[in-house]
Amino acid sequence: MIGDWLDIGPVDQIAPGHARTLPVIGGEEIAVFHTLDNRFYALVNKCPHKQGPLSQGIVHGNVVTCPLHNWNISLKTGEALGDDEGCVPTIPLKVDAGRIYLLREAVLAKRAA
Amino acid sequence: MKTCVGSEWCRFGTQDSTGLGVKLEQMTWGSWMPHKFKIAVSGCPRNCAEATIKDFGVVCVDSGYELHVGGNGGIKVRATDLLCKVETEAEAMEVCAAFIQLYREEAWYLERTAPWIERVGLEHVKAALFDSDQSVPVLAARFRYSQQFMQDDPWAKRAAGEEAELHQHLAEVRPFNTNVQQMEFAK
Repeated sequence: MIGDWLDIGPVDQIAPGHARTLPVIGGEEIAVFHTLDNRFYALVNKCPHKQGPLSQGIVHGNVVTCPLHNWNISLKTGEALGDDEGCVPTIPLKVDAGRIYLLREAVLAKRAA
Repeated sequence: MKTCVGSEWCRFGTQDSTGLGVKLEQMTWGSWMPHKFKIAVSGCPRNCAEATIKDFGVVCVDSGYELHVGGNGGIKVRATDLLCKVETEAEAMEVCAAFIQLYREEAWYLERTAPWIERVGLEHVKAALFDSDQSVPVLAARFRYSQQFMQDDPWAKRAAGEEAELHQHLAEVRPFNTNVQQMEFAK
């Protein structure tokens, strides 16, 4: 993927199975996830159901479970799994030399014009 | 642990049942038991906390505290047996600790207090606790000793700031906002 990448710091600042947040002034807060099998994902920190904070959900496999109503959200696609329907925007993320990078234009995508 | 609202909130309450409930919870949480163990404190004999179907039930009365044991709700209901009456909160807690310790030492694994007391008899429990003046303090001391090693509260550590950095934002993105610039320019 081509574009500007924002360096948001080293991988070890997020423990496996946890998530941390990245507020965007004028935009949507982003949740950055570190799965137990050492993959990283970034989603807008809002469940498509009732805007629950996904960063506070339980991470299992490549899925996060929303803390409000137990919706399961795929970290890969942002889509609700099972019978639920909805999708949360994903932010392209890459890990390079132990640092996490987010695609700048996706971070700013939801920023109020 | 279950209580009614007690003398602080209810015109019928004879003692601070919520306060005693909090103290009993703080004394007993984290302990290992043969099976689950339910406690209730009711502030008066109207018994809103349903203390007489709990493993250990306290019913507050004007003259002090009635201590009941061996109750059970659920499939096979059993009302408690009256174990004793005491005058102070401290005595109630002491007997609670001693009763729990006796149950822990004597009951079978996965045996609730109701079947335990039906098996050994209330008189056996009363004898073990009250035949000697020393039984209650010795049993209670054993319970409190073991509790020193059981009460490791992960939430208290977190509330006191352990790993607080995990809950901070990673950073903050402050994009260059052209709208703000234009508005300032228009002024």
